[in-house]
Amino acid sequence: MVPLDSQDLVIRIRGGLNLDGILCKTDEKGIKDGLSEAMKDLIKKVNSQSFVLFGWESSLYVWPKTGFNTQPTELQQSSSCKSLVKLIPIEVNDYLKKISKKKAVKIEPLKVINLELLFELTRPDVVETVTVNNNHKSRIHFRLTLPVDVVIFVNPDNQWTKTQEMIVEAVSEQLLKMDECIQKYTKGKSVPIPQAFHFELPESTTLTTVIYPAGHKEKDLEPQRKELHAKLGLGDKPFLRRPMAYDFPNDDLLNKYVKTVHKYIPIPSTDEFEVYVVHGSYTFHHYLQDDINDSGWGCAYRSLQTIISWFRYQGYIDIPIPTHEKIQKMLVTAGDKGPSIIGSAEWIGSFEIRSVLNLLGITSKIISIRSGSEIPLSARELIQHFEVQGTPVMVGGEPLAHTLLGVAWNEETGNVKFLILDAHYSGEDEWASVIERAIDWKGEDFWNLMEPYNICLPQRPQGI
Amino acid sequence: MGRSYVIGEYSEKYLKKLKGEERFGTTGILLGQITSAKTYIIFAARTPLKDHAELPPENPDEMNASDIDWVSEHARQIARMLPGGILVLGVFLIRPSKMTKEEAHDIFRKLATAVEAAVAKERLWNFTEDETAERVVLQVYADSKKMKVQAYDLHNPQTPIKLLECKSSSLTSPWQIVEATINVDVNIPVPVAAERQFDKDSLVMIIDGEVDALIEDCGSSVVVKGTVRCRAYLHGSKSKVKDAIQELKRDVLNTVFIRCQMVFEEQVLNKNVEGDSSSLKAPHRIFASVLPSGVAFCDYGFADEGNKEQEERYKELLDYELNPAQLDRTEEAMLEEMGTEGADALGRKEDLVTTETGFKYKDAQELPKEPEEEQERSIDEVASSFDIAFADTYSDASAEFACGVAAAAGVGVIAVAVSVIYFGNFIGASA
Repeated sequence: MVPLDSQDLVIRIRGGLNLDGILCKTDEKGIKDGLSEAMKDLIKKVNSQSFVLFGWESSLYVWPKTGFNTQPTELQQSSSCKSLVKLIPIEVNDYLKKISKKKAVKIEPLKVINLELLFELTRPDVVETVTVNNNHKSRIHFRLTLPVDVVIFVNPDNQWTKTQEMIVEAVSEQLLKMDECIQKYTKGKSVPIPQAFHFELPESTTLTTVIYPAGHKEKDLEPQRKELHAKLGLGDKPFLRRPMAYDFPNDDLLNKYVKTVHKYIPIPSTDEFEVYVVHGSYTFHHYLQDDINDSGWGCAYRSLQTIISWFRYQGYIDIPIPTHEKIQKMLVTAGDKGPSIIGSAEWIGSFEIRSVLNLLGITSKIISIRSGSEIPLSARELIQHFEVQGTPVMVGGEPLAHTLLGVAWNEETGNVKFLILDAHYSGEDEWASVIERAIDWKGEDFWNLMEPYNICLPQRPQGI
Repeated sequence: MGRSYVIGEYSEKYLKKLKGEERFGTTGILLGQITSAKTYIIFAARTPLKDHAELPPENPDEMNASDIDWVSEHARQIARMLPGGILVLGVFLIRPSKMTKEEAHDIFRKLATAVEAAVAKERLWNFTEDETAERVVLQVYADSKKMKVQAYDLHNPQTPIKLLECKSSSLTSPWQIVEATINVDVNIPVPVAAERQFDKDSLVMIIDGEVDALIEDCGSSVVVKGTVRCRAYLHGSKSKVKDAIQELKRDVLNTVFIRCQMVFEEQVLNKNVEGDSSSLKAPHRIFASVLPSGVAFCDYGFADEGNKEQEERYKELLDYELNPAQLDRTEEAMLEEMGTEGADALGRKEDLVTTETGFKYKDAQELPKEPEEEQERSIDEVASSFDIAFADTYSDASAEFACGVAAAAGVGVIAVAVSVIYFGNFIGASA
C-alpha cells in the first residue's frame, strides 16, 4: 500500500493523445494492424523533440528530449525534483495534517505534481513539402483520443534530468499497453478506447496501473483480472476492480464523505494480537449527515449506508447511497415492512439490513448472540469473516447498532478487540474530527453484557 | 466611435500618381491592418484592366455586374497574397469630375460589399465580436487635392457611409514580425456516397464520453501533410501577444487552405486522370518585402519556376515592380535542406535562428512588457491539439515561446476539409 507517511513525490502526467489515420483494409485484422502502426508512430513522437510537458496552473513548459524549459534559472539540469514544487502548485490533502498526532499513525499527505502532455507543432520532427494525397483505396478512417494517465513515484532528491527520461519512458510504456488493450478487445469494427486505472496493491509502496477497455462491464473484465492476479500473486480478494482505483488528493478533497478512516489509526500491537480488518474502501455515514436528523433512531440505516458504500467502492453495485426513505421503500418492496414505515423514524436491525442487501443482490449471514458477554466467543467466526469476505459488519443490539470493521485476537489470553466505526457520531465530515471521535479499537467491555445482539455479515460475491 | 484612420506614405503617393496620370475611373483595393484603436492603410493597388485596355472607361458610373465581379476577383486574388495581420480593407476610386455623389455612393456600395464577400468566402475563420466591422472606401478627387475617406459597416451595408478623418503618416518604421514553422497532417475521409456538395457536419467529431474509437467507412481519402512557414505583422509597440497569436493562427489556416485550393484548382483545370492514388505537391510560399516597414506580401510557386512568374503577378495584382532580390525563398530552402534530416538540422541552420525556441522572432522592438489583458486560451474543436493556457503575466523570454507554442496549436481539420468540400465535385467525379 502507498505508505501514509510517504516522502515521495508523485508525478502524474495526463493528456489526450490522438490517433488519426486512414486504412485500406476493412477487416478486423487490418484495423488492428493499422492502429498498431499508428501507435508506433505516436510513441516515436513522444520520444522526439516536439514532446512537451506543461505544469498545471504554472508557467513551466519542459522539453524532456532536449532538456530545455521555460524557467531555466529555477529548474536547471542539476536540479532535483524538489525544485518542481516551487514552480508547480502541488495537489495535496492538507486536512490530513490536522489529524491529532496522538490518535493517528504518522501521516505525511501525498504530494502530487500534475503535468500535461503536449506536442509542439512549431518544432516539426520531419520537415517536408506540403503534399495533397488523394487515395481512392482508402476504406476506413479511424480517429481516437487516448486518455493517457501515467503516474511515477520519485524521491524528491532524484535528479530532474533522470526523471525527465523516466517520464518519457513511462508514457511510451503506457502507449504500448494501450495498444495491447486495443489488440485484445477490438471486435470487428468496434475499437474500445483504452483507459488507465491506478491501484494500490498490498506488496507495493507505489501504484500499479492497469489498462482496461472503456464500455465493458466489470464482470466482462474478470478474465483479465484473473490473469493479473495470477501474475502479481494477489490471491482471491479483489484489488483491480475499476471502482477500486486509487483516490488522489483532489479526489479525496472533492468527496463530501470521509473515506476508509480506519487506516489512519494504529492497530493493536502485532506482538500480542493477530489483526484482521475490512478489505478495501468505504465511506463513513453517521447521524445528522446530509442534513437528515436521525439522531436516536438512524444508526442502523447509517451502518447500512456504510456497508453499501463498501459494495460500491469495490464495484459490486452501482446505485447511489440510499437515503433513509429509500431504504424504507426497499423494505416495503421486500415485503419486510408495511408502507407506514416510509417517512417514519422507525428503528431497523440486522434482519432488515439483510433484506435490503438481498434486493441489491448481496447475501448475508446473521449470527444471533444471546448476550453481549458472548460476543468474544464469536471471535473465530468474525476473524474468518474478515479474512475471507472482508466486508464491514453490522452489530445490531437493542437499541444501538454499530459498524464493526475488524477484530484483533490475542491467542494467548483470548482477549479480543473490536474496530468500531461509530454511526452515532454527529459532528462534521472532516478528517481530524472523525478520526478523533468516530473510529476506535474497543475492548470486550464495549458491549452491553446483558443484551442480545444480531450480527449481520454481508457476503462478498464470488470472483475478483 | 473614435476609430482613427491612418494612411501610409506608399498608398498616398500611389494614389496621387494615379490621379496625376489622369486615370479617372480607376478602382482598386486597399490593404492594411485593423487594430483595436486604429485602421492603418498601408498599400493600394489598382484593379488590373480588362482585355488589355489602355485606360479605364470614361464613364465608370455604370458599373455592370461583370465589372464588379472583376474587382471582386482581384480582391480575392490579392487576399491570397497577404500575410497574417494584413487584410483587404476596402476599395478606392479615382473619381472623375463628372460623377455625381449618388453615382459614387452607388458604386461604392456595390463594390465594397462584393469585395468583402469575395474575400470572406475563402476565409475559414471568423472575426471575433470585438473586432470592428468597418471597412474603408476612399475617393481621390480629380479636381482637388482632397482624398475623401469613408467607412461603411459590414454588418449594415445600407447605413449611410460615415466621413472620416484620415491622417497621413509615413508608416515606414518597422512592424513587428512573428513567424512559425508548423507541421500539418490532416486526414480527410470522403464519404462513400460523395454528393456534389456535402457540408462540414458530415465530418464527425468525437464527443466527450465516447467509449469506442471513431471508425468510419469512406470512399476515398485526402491527406494533407507537410510543413508551412507562416508569418504575421503587427503595427506598433503596443500590440499584444494575444493578437500576434491570433494573427499567426489565422495565417496558418489561410496558407494551408490556399495551397490546397491551388492544388485542386489546377487539377480541375487540367482534368487530370488519376489512378488509385495520387500525390500532388502543393506550392511553396515565397515572401517579398515590399514596404519600407518590412511588411511582406507572399505568393505561391515552385522552385523550378524561376522568378518571372512572381514578377508578373506582383505587377498585375499589386501594380508593383518586383526586384527578384526581394524574394525570400526561405521556406523552399528550409524544405530542401531539412527534408528528411529531421529536427536536428533545425538547430544548425543559422539564418532560421530557431535555436531552442522553435520559431524565429526577429525584430528590433521588443514585445510589450505590460501584462496580457486576459488569459489566452486556444481551444481546438477538432481532434488535433490540446488546450494551451497561458498565465496572466510572464517574462519576455517566455512570452516568445508562448507565442511560438500557442500559435502552433490550431491547424484545424476543418480548414482543409472545407477546401475539399469545395471541390467535392472533383473528388466525387473521379472516385
